[in-house]
Amino acid sequence: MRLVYFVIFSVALGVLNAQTTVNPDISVIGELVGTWENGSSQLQGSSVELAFQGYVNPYARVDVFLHKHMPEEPIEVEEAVLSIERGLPFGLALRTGKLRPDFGKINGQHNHTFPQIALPTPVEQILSDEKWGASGLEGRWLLPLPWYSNLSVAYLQNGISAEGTPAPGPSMASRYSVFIDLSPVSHLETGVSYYQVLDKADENIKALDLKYKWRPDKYRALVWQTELFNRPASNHLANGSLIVQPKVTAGYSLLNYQFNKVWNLGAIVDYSSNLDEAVYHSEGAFVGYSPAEETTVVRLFLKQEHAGDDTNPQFMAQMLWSLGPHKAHQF
Amino acid sequence: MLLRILLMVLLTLGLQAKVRVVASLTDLADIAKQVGGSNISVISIARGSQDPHYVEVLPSSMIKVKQADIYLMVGMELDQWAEQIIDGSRNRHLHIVDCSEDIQRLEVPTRKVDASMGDIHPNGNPHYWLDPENGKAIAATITRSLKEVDPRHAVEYDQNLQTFLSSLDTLEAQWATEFADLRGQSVVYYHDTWPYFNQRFGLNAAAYIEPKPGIMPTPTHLDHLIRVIRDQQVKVIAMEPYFSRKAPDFLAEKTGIKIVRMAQSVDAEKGTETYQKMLTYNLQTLKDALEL
Repeated sequence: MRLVYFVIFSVALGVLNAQTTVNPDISVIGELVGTWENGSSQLQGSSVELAFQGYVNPYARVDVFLHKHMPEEPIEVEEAVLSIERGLPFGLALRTGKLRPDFGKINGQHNHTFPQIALPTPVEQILSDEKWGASGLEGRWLLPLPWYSNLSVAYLQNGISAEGTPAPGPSMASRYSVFIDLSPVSHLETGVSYYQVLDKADENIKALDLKYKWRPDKYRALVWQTELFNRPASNHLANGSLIVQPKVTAGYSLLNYQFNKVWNLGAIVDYSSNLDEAVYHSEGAFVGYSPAEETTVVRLFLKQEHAGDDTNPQFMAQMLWSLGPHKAHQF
Repeated sequence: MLLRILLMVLLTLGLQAKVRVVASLTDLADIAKQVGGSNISVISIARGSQDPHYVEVLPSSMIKVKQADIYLMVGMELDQWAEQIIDGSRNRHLHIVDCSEDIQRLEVPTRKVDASMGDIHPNGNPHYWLDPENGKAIAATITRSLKEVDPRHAVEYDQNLQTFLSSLDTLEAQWATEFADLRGQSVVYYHDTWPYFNQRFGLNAAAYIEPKPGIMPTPTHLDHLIRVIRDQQVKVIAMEPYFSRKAPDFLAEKTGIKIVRMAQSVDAEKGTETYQKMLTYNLQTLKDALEL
């Protein structure tokens, strides 16, 4: 919490004292989500993401993302990262602070970019409901090859706090990714990732991700994103009791088609081999309407969950708005 | 002996190495090509037929910039996407050039800008390369940066710049007579891409198909456009190749107005392979459509 106040105070002080030209870009993204499940509906409440982004010197930039689930939860520092992108030799880059490490594809994506509104349940099971972010250091190396080929290695103070278990101690994550232009309008990115809790050999996760995008013009685009996680069984002590985490294979596959510039339509399927001691899978469909780029978005998502013999239909609606110069999201 | 030969080969290769230039748009790339000649290699991130406002930040673009010596930006907040590409390239020796630094800016907002005005650029309209006089300013800016990075070929760059400026002077004299009838003509444009072009060649923008920059046309706005076209007897809608024809076709059906595709950038249309050809193409396209 002290860090939050410090960031807000520093930025406010900067805004008051600095000339306009050196102010960071400030943007706000807000959302309101309504859900309908098991015959009852509720307004899940709105949340706000506040971003401060800018250069601190010719070689480094800072990106701070604060997140507030209103009204009951405190402000959280989602990310507060210092990145040295162009100051290091040999194609190296460095990120430090509270960061989401380069592990899989979805872990680095912000929730407001999801066409399906919410994180897929099997991903929540593996990466936790807020995905994985912790304080640490990450090095990225752009390999000297004619195509984009990046190796990231991160050391973080805490590992993944999944399924309600306390976050384990120091952990590392790595991802090797390759990006290829299939044509001037179609691109493919694929990556393999590995996560390891440093003092527990059996606590690790392997991941494989793939993203394909076809964008022939500014009105149409097709995105296929798929990700697979494998976590072996592990045992660990929490508050004096032994917690057994079963072996899990989980993943999702998402297809999203944008048409007429402002509409998008798609489907998602996900799977977990063991979620609360049952095989889980769901299938869902979504539609979105965005009349002015990403400044206002309305999304609807309908999904049917299957866990063991139970089925559970769920409906979500989201209204999202964006204020200020939010940076474009990388592929 | 072998080591000496190897060193000589490496030295020769080093001396012959071209200055590697990456530009945000094909227009800047073509001007750089004309000024740099055989001493540079140049590529563009955006394709000519692509909307320069929305270019996806692709890792493959970062690789193109990784080995570059110079990056040519449009500036004026048009190619903000270039900043992420440049950062992602991890190229710490890159010389970044803002090609807008010496141009006379148009449509600079006089009051606070916000999203209620659409995609307004707070530093003025950024489509400045569509005025040949600004083309000359861009060429001078690029020449300066080439001379800084590669002073050994400074004389050649200066000579090439003079050739480029002369070619535009000659063309401007031809255009002044050949397209004199365009002066005073009104055109409905899709997007506010053409104020520099209009100012130079005496054209008027009667209206825009976008109700506000970057905002898709609404039925109410289309109704307003029908009245403008009829009242002002506008004969031509000019649109960039990346926009949908849906709204222009609707207006053509209602009013009989002609639709033409203009090249907002080099290589946006067939026959626009150079900066000079692109400008001539646009003038000729409008002249033909207006039956002058």
